[in-house]
Amino acid sequence: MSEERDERRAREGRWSELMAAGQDGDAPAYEQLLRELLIPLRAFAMSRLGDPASVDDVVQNVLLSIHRARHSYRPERPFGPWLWTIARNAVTDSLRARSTRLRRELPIDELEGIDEPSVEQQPQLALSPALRAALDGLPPAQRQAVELMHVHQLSVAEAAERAGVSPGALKVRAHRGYKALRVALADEKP
Amino acid sequence: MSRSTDSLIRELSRGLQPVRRVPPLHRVAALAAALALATAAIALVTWGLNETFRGLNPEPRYWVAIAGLLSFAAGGAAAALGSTVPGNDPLIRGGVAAMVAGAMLTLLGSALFLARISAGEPAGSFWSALSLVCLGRSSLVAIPAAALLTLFAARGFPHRPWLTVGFGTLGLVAFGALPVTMSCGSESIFHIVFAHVLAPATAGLGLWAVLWLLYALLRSRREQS
Repeated sequence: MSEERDERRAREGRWSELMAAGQDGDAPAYEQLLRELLIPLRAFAMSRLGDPASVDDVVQNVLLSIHRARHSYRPERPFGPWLWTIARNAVTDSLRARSTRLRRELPIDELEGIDEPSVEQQPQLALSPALRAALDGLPPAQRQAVELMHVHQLSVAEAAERAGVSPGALKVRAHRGYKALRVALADEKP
Repeated sequence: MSRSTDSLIRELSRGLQPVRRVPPLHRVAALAAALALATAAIALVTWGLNETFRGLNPEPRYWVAIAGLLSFAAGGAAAALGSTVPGNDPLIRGGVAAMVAGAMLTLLGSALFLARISAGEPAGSFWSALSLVCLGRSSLVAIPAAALLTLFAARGFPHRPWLTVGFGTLGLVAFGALPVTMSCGSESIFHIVFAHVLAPATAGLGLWAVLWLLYALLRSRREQS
């Protein structure tokens, strides 16, 4: 029992050091931390969801939350409570989003006979010439993510499916795309 | 590991920039407490003590109300600080428990005041221009420390930010009601209950909305930078 506790403490101590290094911009340490966290996060998500099919998506959401919250960790504090609070909140949000999505979706038999529109047939937002030019200047992966989610107004899951990537990866691309768009549009202002 | 999770990890680590850590909770707590105490002291000096508190022997109903407001204020500030940074569940739970205890005490205090109406004390009107002044004063005393907690929330990573801002704002309005209770000269029971003891539920809600807008503004700026 006490060996297990010591082992857990040692592991969390190492994660704390890796996170502190990551906060200082050490990318290899940060990557190692995220990789080490995968197994316990997967086990945690599995215990909460009980559905192996959605564990990957939820773990990716947890990783994104950890990334967005990384500035809120202080190395003098224990790493475990910080990590598991973020994981629990991200899993709760994922479960909530999934139940909302399920409530909105139609049963498959009600969709029979309806052809799925192509991306081009779906409603699109009109873009100003400046925004169009800024969008064209983005790297292809980021442009595709922004276009699918905000020009064609697809959900994250639909956009990820069309782009052939995970929802988490699509969110990262879209987020980087928005940042680049903001910078590009701010530069254009007189 | 699936290929997409692997690519996500690589994408998150690529070009990683250093980040500025949030300040330690105890430092923000000390700063907020100092700010709140200084504001309350300035308010008391400016407005002066009323007759009830000048002799420092007010009736028990006042002490019940003050204990309730103090407990609510400390609990709200603790819950706001705890919920700004992940991993502080015991602090949040303790803060919420103190808020609930404080709310019960303020309700008990209100009941003790209202019970005096039947004993012939002046009930007064439920709403007067003076109520607006007292509610405004409670908010005024709360603003500096509540704004500090809102700034901290915008720097941190609250899971339910509207709740984090609410804890801090309502708690500090309760604290702001203390110098108001100790300085206002009105003896109208309805005024004391509505504009002093229950200030967190009246003035607090308005200030919560204002500080929530401030939070949203700060957060959107932060995400743009």
